[in-house]
Amino acid sequence: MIPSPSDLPDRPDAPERAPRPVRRWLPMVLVALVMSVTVLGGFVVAETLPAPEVRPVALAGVVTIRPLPGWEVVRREEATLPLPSGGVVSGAFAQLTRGNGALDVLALRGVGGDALALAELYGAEVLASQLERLAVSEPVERVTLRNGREAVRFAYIGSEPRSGGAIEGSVTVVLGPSGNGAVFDGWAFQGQLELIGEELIAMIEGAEVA
Amino acid sequence: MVRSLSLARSPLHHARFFQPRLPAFWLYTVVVALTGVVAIAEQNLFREMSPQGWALSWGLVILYAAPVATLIYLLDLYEREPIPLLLAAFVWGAVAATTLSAIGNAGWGIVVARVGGPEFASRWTAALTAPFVEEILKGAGVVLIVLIARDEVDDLMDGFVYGALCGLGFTIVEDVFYFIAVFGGDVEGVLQGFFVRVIASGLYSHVLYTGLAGMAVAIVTTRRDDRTPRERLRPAGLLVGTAVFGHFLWNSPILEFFPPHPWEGAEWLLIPVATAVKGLPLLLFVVLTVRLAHARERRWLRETLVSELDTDAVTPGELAILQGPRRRFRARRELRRRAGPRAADLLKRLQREQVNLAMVRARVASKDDPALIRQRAVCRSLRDALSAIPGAASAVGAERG
Repeated sequence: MIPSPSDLPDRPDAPERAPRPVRRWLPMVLVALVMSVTVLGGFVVAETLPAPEVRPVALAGVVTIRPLPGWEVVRREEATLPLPSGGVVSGAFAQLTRGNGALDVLALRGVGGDALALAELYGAEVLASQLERLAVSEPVERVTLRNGREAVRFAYIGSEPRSGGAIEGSVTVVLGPSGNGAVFDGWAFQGQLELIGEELIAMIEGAEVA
Repeated sequence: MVRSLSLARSPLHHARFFQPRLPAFWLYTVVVALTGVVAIAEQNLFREMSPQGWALSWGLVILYAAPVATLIYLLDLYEREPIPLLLAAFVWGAVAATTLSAIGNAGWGIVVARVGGPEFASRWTAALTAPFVEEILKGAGVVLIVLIARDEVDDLMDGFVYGALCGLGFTIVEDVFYFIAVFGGDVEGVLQGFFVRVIASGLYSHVLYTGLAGMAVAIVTTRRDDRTPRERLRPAGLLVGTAVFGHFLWNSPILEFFPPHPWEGAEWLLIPVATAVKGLPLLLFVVLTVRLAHARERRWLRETLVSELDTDAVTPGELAILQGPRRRFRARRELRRRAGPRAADLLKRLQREQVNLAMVRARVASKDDPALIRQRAVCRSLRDALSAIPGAASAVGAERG
């Protein structure tokens, strides 16, 4: 049997050269496998587990919202909003948070009018009283939610009076078929809203407004 | 002619990063290229969100990373690792491990939430996902480096150096993420983030975890250990387990002494205390492990070169100096003072080639192996060249005695 050239020993007087590295497929395949399981395995395992029952949050019989995993209700109270005509509308308020951002939900009974008017009212009565140096985007955007319902949306920036921290937010206002109103105000400290934006939209789009 | 031949570079040093023959090289390259696109997009997003904060963040993390990288590099006492391989380890940690970890953590985070429920998940997800996901993915980078350049990982300290640099790459990219996404990204937020994550926590970061994981990889792959692969798995597992546990403790709500947010006044001073409670034990463990690894390297060098004393490639005086980096440095400084910089440079080269002699000795089966004979000749010729320099001869002669 003739040995292959690589099996032959070097001549003693042959010039020194670096040995050719040995191809190692098995360790490389194992490393790729371990990495794949580490990166993707969680999603595969999660699919086999029953999804937890997310308890929906119902507000004043007007809004039902399902918090996504990691979000929890940290405040819940009765709320009223003064109307320009002099009266008030009552409802309920809840704040959901995930740590680096929040979603304020205001549910109002029998608010009537249109969504644009409610959006302006929220900006003037709530945001303006809570934030300094408030700036609101113009014009207000009209959007259609996944459930087919019409809504208005605007963005704002301002600073929190106590800490001075810059806050940015996005307000979505929806009117229900029976004249109830819902305001979804997703906000975070400057630079962080984008990080929770998709989750905010998912919760707002999945919310039911009676 | 003889002189130029005898001064030829040691044949041991051939490992380089660019080795397209090796499958591991291509796995490394493809993963870094793909994750690099995502990593660049993320940095672009941060830059658009807060240009000033982003630039400041990178300036600050470089300020932290440069001395740490130098320290890690210098911890390798005898044979410093090739810069391209060190850069490869760093880039893996900064680009591939961070990007893949974000995906892996999200997936396993869903598992934790589904098994433990939202309340449990909000407290424990970081502790139950990141230590495993991140240590595996950073460690995979060290394994790939070893597969690409097996000859360069001689002993534990080499593994520590590659692992620690991989961890350093990871930690600075993670720091920038935190400065922008968690601390707000404005100048004040970035400075607060720098205080919390670097000044108060910088000593206990991924550098330690992955340094230990790198040591574990080196224990399994080193040729200097007479133990069977099975016997090596226990100490390797202990090191990896310690790294994962240290990371778990850091991320968990256990021993949480942070003051409640927002921090004001003296509360800022409590933060370094809170981080020390969690991180200091691991730092001490790593310092102890590195010292033991250094002692093991010194012992190996002495035992290997003692058998070379009768060949005159190394003298007892030179061996005594060779074992301690400070002694080596002092000997060169003294020679520079007495015989000039050329003599000092030559002594530095002699010392390096004597360390290489130990490497060759450890790798060949016979005392008469041609590579070993050639390396002895290199050492002797360097000493002869050194003796020919006025002022250096007496020093070399003294060391011979």
